Amino acid sequence: MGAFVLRRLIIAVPVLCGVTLLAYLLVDLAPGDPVTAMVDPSTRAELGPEWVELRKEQLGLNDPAPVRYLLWLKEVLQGNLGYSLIGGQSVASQIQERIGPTLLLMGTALLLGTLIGIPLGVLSAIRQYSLLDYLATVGGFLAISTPSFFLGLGLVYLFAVRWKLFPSSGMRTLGVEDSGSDLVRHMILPVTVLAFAQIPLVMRYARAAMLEVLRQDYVTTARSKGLGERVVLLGHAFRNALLPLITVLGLTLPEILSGAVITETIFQWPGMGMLVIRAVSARDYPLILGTILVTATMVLVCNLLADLLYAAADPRIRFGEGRR
Amino acid sequence: MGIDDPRFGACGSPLDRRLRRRALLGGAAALAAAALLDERKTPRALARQDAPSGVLQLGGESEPAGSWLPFRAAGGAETQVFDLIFSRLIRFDADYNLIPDLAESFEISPDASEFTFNLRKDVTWHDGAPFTARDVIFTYRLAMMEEVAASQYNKLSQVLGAAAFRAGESDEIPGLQMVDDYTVKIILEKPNIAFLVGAAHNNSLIWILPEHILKDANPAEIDQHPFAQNPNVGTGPFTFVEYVADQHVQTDANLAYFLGTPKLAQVYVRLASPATQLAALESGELHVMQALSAADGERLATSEVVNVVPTPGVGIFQTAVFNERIPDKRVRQALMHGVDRQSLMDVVLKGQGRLVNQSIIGPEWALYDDLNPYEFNQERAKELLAEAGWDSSRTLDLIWEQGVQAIELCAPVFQQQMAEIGVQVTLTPLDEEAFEARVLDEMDFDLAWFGGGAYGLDPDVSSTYYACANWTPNGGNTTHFCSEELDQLFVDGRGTPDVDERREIYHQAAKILNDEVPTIFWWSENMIWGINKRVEGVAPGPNTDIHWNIQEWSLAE
Repeated sequence: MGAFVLRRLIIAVPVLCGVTLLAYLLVDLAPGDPVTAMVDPSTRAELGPEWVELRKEQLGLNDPAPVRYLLWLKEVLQGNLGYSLIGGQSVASQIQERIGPTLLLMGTALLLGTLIGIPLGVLSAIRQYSLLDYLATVGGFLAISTPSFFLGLGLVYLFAVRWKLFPSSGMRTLGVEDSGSDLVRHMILPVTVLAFAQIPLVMRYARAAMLEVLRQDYVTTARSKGLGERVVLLGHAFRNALLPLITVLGLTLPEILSGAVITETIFQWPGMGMLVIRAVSARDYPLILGTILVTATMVLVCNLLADLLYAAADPRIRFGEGRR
Repeated sequence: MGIDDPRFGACGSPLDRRLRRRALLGGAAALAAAALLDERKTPRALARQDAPSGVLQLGGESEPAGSWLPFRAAGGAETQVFDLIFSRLIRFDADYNLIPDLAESFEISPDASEFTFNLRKDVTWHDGAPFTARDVIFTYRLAMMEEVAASQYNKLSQVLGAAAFRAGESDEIPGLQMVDDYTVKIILEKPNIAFLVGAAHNNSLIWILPEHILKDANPAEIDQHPFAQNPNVGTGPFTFVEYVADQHVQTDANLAYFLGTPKLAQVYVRLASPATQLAALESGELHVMQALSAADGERLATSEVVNVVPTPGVGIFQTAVFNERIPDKRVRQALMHGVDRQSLMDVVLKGQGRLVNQSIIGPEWALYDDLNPYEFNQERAKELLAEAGWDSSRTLDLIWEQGVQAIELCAPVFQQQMAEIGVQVTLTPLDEEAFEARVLDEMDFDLAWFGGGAYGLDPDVSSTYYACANWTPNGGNTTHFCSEELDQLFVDGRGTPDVDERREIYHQAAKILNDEVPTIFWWSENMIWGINKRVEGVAPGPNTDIHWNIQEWSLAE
């Protein structure tokens, strides 16, 4: 298993290089550059072409694209993610600032989504065609097909503007000492929006997986052995139904670090999603590449994690020992 | 505290007043400031009745770049923060009257080429160091260095000797003189009364920086200096505390502020998208938001939380005509006559704007009404086109930056009404960068639609956009319009500080712009402010720099 992990980690290096190279090429192909992106057209017209040229030269934008990419790569291999072209702050510190809030928001939402979604899905499967199953299915489809911006703005209108129960945006009340309860009040609306998208996803997969397993012979066998329904469902059925769920969760897990662009923007939550948007619209190459590197790493790590969890959940799976 | 009314006067034109009156600050103010200075050191020890209180939230106009030096073509949020934490030599109030700031008075030579600023002697930096003329000279020299690439250099290049200094040919700048510790003189190469006017990115009145903090900074790497991330030493009414990206900028009251201790304890500039800001404004969390849409303004008019305050805008919504391709003014006049601007404005702006027929739209003293109003008259348009021998098989390509709602509403109507007078128009929305490239770099368009600019600041702003020397790519004249007569009027208008003379000159200029229609002028949109009803002392005017008297703002319970 150690060899397996090592092999996956070694493969990750060229994958990451490829991802950043591709990202770099795409961004480079897009029209505009950090200098023109920061000033509006009438300002730019007033300042004239010399000013634009001077800034470009200062920021090193006049070097050919491959040179700039290799320079960036060289620094990254030495552990330096570089500096933002726009404001001059270090990319690493900017990403660091965002990781906490993103982890908090996305982690809570994913955890909540999973903790509510799985039991709901399992219950729906056990009581297939019951009222609960229908309600969960219809509700789930409604929730998953409601765009997050609509839900977000709707919640803000009702709970912040109309009833003034929760703050409309931000992470803390300005001008007031930081406190846990204040933070929770700010988290409730965005977490609700994100959990609304997560719950039905997990629920539907859990339900399908559970239904599939419940029809298997070994469940019938377990029942015929006279095992209690509880033991059959949790010990035999649920454990096997977990496998596809691990895949789904493994795929959503990277979001914990990559953030949710739309929800973060609506609620002004200072997460990774907003940072990426900002980097892209400002054509801030080092910042774009830095965030992509972090997100891509997260995806690779989570996939690896999912594979390892497979093994833990399913004793039949063994890594690198020559048999399945 | 301090001065009750920091303005020079209450009526007459700004330049007039600038010459007639001088701010006289008595010894009382200086004493008060000295007293405040002691207080600053022990703010909590002295609990006074009028100690600052209340936390105000201003809506940030855009996400700041993160470098807090006022040399970049800064967005709105930076400008707001700079106004809070730094000061300038002089500044404008809500109605574009010049008011004292770091300079308690100033003189302009009769030919408008020499500006002498008499600085206040009671100003201290937030760290307690005294402010002197050295700081002013230091800041201006920095802004003129090539390595700094200050966006204000465009304006400062007019200072005598600036170009040689920038090129490294001389270490001296003859046009930038420190007469004594509290007097600074700026001499221009050519007379220009409009030297003092301009939007923040292009303004000779830079926010003054502390020499004692920045004197050892490497100009080429000034953005990496710690001060650029933490500008906690200024002279403004508030002190910089922290910037949290995508969240806010926090500033605390400067108890030793030279125009009087602010009434508010803290001001936050809250950074958020307009939709998010609007929700926060309606819920009462955000106190001041600028540039509400006309629809939101109408909806909030009955709000119990927010006052909706429209003020005249300084920008112009216009369809730039590339004059090199349409050199006949009769065709351009026909385009103005051919479209029903009034009806469109009623729909798009819901009454929050005024039609404009040339670009000299402010300040108030420069306004001139005896002009062709270009009423909607398609018969007249057809006549003009016939006179000009317009080839009706010709197609004009109209480009714009997609996503601007007003343009997207108007463009199809414009296209149809143009077809009615026999002008074929194709609609080509582009993304931002492609649009900029077509207009500014390639100069390849027939018609380009955009809004904005700062025309209302001073009549001379129009010269940026219509003087022959400013053709793109070397300046802001995107239409490539050129009139020697108009150019001469702009030169004359810059050459005198006398408002009556300037008024006459710009009336002539307005007539030419109105007759030649270098661009299709549509309207100037009101700036609509949303201000929480608890905020007292705020005085919005045409100037979007609403913070000019923020030390006097307070929050009612």
